[in-house]
Amino acid sequence: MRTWTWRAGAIATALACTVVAGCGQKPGVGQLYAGPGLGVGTGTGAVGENGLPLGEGVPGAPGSTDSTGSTGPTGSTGSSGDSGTGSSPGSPGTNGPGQPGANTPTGAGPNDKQGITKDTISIGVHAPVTGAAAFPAEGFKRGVGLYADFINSKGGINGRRLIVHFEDDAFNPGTARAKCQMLNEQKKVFLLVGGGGSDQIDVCARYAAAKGVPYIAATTHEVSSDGMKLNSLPTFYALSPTYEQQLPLLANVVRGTGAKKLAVLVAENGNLNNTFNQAKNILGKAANIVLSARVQKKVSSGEANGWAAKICNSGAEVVFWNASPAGLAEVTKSMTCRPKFVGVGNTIGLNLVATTSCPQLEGAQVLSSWPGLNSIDSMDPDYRRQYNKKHSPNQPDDIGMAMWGLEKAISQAFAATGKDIGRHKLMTTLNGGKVINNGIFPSSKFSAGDRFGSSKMHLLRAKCTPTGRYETDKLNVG
Amino acid sequence: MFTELGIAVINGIFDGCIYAFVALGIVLVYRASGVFNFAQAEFGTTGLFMAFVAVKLWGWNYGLGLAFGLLCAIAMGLLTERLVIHPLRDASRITLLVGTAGVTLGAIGLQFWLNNDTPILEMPKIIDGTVAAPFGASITYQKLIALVVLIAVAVALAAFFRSPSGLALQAAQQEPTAAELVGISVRRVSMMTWGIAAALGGLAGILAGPNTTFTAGFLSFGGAQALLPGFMAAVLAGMRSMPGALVGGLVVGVVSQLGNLSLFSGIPGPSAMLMFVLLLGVLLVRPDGVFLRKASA
Repeated sequence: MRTWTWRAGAIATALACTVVAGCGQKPGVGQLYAGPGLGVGTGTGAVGENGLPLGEGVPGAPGSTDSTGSTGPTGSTGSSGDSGTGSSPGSPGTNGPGQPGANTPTGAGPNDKQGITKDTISIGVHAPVTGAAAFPAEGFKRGVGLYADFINSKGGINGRRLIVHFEDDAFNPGTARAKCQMLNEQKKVFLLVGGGGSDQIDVCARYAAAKGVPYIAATTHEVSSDGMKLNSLPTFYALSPTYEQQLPLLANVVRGTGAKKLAVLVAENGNLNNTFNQAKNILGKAANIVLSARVQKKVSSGEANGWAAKICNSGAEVVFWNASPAGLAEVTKSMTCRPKFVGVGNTIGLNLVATTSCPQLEGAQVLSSWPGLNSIDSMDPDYRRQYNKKHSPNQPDDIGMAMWGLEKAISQAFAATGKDIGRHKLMTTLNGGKVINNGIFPSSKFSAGDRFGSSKMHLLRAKCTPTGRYETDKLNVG
Repeated sequence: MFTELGIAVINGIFDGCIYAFVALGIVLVYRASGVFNFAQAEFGTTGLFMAFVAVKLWGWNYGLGLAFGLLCAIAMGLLTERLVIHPLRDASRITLLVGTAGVTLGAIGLQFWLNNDTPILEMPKIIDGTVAAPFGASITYQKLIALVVLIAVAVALAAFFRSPSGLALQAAQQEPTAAELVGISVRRVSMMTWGIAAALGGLAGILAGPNTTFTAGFLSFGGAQALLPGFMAAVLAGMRSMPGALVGGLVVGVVSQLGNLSLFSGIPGPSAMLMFVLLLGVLLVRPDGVFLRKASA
């Protein structure tokens, strides 16, 4: 009897583990919300069915003309309003994402000036330092606040010092959301910045929209797993085109290689479903697709062996890789063939990836928001000077350059908004078509209906000798 | 399909070598002290990190670096026995399990802390290059060396358990009081057990690391992810059979690789799911493990 009890217990445990293995993968963006649809554009204070985070109202989200959060058609009362960002109601979001009306601000809420004092302005940055992306923590630590120090030494932005808070989101959407919430509610930042990772940017952008906090990222996907377009989030801004918008540019790169056989490998991530389909469609016109598959979010060395064999067996001459940078390093290490890798987005264009994936990555071409480090002195000589001044003898790196560019772009937006800055006024300024040209990212220009501010990217090429790194191939490819 | 199956079997056997090293250590410790040793894989990662430090940062000779890594892994095993297991020897097994999990988390934290600047590291291979690529699956010299070392270790362990020291170890494991009465130091045997287990973990680390890049927690939760498969292999071995742990490691390696078949594309986490299905099947049919005779179980 006792044996059977033990056996039943063990079997129940194993069964539970099996279910967890199959279904309980790392929570995706959708799982972090209470329902299937996003409440943006569905009125305010939407909870549960509308898919907003439980217990949170939608302050001045599109679809609301009330900056303090009124009751929406299917939700409960919002708790606070930061800034009015919608002018017309969206559709009720019981079965999917509500799309906002026009993303035009209508009024400022009580938290409109959160993070701003007479002398300072605080922003919060989240990025993956640990997890499957594993960016160098020290690189981020040295990069974050570098431009802030520089601009502060010159009197700040309209007389205010820029303060930057940084949090590691561990390449995990659940952690990212918690960190963004903490930055907003405890650190009381004025604005949130996404450093990288599509899931993490997606979940924080939604949180920011729900709270009326301006959110700025470099680039990310266009359509989320639940069908919502990031473009529809009222407080979201990306300095570079979406992955999907970059694909036609990349198709030209593929054509330029003269390759006939192409492999399309995209992370098994709901937020990249549209990217995967678009990649097959657009890149498929540049070369014949001989392998198209979804790659695990976190590729183990065992799985990497399998992918390496599949790539080599397919005979692909070019591989489009849009999955974790650590996974790319794992796969390249197991390959017996040498196809050329191409990619969009910023993470696989980091020097760290070239260092760990060379020599197999030689010649890889990647579209990136920032140039190779070899071009920075002609584009913005202040970066190297400031880096050396603050961090010598450490050498400037591309992560620091990316953070410098982001902070510089945000500072330019703040400066353009004027001394009487608030969230509402900042977003009005951005939506008004103010051009942001920081000399590192391709110039950006937003509107109420277009939150991906640029149509251009820089093209980088991997060089493996003497050490792995990316260098600028072409600037402002568009 | 045949090609995919061939790739899965070949890659699975070589992955399984690493799982087998981990499983052997887990079984050895469990037999000696009844402890589920969650630190087993971290002995390997620590050994790998220290070998990396010696070879890449200090510029030591490669062989010396590997030996240093292995010694560090053994030292970690001995320290774990002295500082965690021995003081908790009268505590419940759950407490001991938590203690070893604490060792793992502490080691991973240290690895993160010491390698903040370059989180993704690369250890050179013992011999670079590919021996063959049947079905397109790359068989590198490094992987082949791991297989050869595993076979050598298996033979050495078999010989050891027939030697006086090995018999003393088994006696202390089975009847500690009686063993003490005939002059066997159970304390020393416990140290020896943890030392051997840590050496096995260290071998897993320094042999698996050069196959790819590595990060903190490499063998536990990182790229190699050998802890869970190692435990599964140990369960297949009934937590007691050393040959069973070896074969179990290879079986788990192949089964996990079957998850890469295009047959399972679209299913999230097919490798983990297949491994758990295997575990479930074993627990249903042979809850005491596949490799133990019923009488001895």
